[in-house]
Amino acid sequence: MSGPAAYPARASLQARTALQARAALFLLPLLILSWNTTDSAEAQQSAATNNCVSCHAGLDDEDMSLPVAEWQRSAHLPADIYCQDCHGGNAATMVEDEAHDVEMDFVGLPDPYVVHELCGECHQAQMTNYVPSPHGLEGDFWPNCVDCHSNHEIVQPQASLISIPDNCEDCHEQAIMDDYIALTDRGLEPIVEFRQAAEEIRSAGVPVDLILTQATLARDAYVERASHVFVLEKMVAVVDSLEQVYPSIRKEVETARTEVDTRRRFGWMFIGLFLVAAGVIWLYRRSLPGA
Amino acid sequence: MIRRLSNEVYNWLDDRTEISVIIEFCHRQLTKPVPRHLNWLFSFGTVTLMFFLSQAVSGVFLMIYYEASADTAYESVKYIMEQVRFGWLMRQVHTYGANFMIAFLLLHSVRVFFYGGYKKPRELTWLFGFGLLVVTLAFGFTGYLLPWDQLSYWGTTVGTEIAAATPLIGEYLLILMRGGEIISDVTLTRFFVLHVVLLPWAFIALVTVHLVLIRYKGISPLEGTDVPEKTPEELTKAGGKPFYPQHVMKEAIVVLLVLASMIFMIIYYPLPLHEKADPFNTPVGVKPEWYFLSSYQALKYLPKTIGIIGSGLVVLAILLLPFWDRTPARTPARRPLATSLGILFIVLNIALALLGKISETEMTFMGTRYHFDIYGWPHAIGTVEEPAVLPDMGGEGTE
Repeated sequence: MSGPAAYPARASLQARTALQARAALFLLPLLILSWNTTDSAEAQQSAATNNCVSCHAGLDDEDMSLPVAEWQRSAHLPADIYCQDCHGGNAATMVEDEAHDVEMDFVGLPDPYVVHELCGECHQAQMTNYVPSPHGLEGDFWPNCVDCHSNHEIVQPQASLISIPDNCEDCHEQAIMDDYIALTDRGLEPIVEFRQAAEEIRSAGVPVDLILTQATLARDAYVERASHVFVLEKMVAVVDSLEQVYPSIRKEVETARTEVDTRRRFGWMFIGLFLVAAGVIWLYRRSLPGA
Repeated sequence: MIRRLSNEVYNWLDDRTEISVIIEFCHRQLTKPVPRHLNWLFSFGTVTLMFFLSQAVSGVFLMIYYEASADTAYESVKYIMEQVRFGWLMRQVHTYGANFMIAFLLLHSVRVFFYGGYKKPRELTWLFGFGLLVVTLAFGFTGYLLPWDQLSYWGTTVGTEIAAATPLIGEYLLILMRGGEIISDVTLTRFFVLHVVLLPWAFIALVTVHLVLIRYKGISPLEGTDVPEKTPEELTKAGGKPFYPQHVMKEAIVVLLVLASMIFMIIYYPLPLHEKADPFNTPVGVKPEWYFLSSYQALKYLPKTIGIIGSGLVVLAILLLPFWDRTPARTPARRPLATSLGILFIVLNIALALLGKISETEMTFMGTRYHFDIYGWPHAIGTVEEPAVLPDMGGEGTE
């Protein structure tokens, strides 16, 4: 998570200050006489505050304060998912009773049997696959979302979540879990590879929209058909079908890389030309009388 | 045969236009001797001029495809970069050229300051040079909006807001700049006209006078203003060389090396086009171009009014430099106060620009992650693990 991404209010302040500096140079004669200016602190004051965070962060009871620190490290903070999105309540007040008002849908600790519905409000495809899976209705919603992804310190998904020590091992053999991990890597690692290549190529100025679109389509197909189904055969079918399209995306990546190389060769040709010309002029100048 | 033919053409032209008078004048100017102390640093002005010409050529190319409308500006720039043959090159040459032009103009100004080139009788040359600096920065300000991407849109939105703070006429000035209450099609058209019509002509007018003054008064000597300046004959006797070919060759070498550097930057570090402007979504991480970064950072530490007035006074002091610095000495060693102040000013600007650059970023030192706040001060935020081996798996709010 980048710094500015976590501080949208500061970014707004930054944009304001940046252009003030720029405009100041052009409007100088008038600005010298200026008095009706806006204090930059106003921008900070206008930033929305979340009172759940403000209050809980300072509580002595670690069970009540630790979730704030965990959430601040999570992928939910940059995605603007706040406490009240899962726990309900009124985040606009510092009065405890009002903040925890059931009239404001405060639920405190969500019922384990509806956790998937809470998460599913955003992660719909995952919930759709999870409910009929061996871990959903069939498994009495165990494990649920937070058992694997944790409740507050939620990070981007990783294959290692498939094999959590002292959790999955109670029911599953390691060899089975290794198969799942290998399959997940087979399905998703190429997408990571395409995206990294696209970013690298994009930074060289060559368009990569097609590569990114195809990578996103592949990811969506995986999410919709293979993610959280927890049935190896179904996942194999999806990954096999994805592997049919990966060569064409790889070809697009190669084409774009060739374009980058061509541009660089073309550029080096000019650089060489300029350096040779500079050398010739330098020699000519040295040959002038009195040089 | 060729020589005879060219002589005949020349004579034919001369009979009708007296072109020989112009050629004689140009030849006299070109071969006018320049002082012996002219070194490579004296090429920066020419490099700046070369970049102006390069901007004009690449700008005309871009204008063929660019559409100055809020609906199509972004797409037209994208089209130039992705579809037009060598469009990417022209856009990069134009964007990098703007940065190089400003960089060399600043270097040229610094060189003139340290060599005391602004002193009597070259005050007007300095004033017109300052005008060129303002026009060049205005090129940057107006050109910034034209791609119509997120940063340019929001940057211009808050930038023009400063006009509203102007006493008495602030509101009118804001409307004048924006062509309405908000940044819109009208603003884009105004900035486009300024960028491609008014500013180029202003630059041409100013640079013409600037060059004429340089050729008329000659290059500033190293001796103090209390010593009579040498005539061309005395300069030649003192070891001065003709402007052409000696110094012109030196400038050509610098120009070629700078162009080679620019091509290197273009092919390895091309400047990107950001997301299309979205009036309903303020982007994060907006920072000004490097040449406004020190002013931008300075305004963070001071109350706005004091900051603006302070910057204004500094700029005014630079503009009027030849009129308040009347000491005769020109060489840096013989005017320690001015030299020290100049160095301090440059160091301060570089430090502020660096603070501006690192502000609102995160970096890891010795295993500890630091967040640099808006003032550029570091705050330890602990260790951060490398995220996500797999791609994000969706959900609202992602992508």
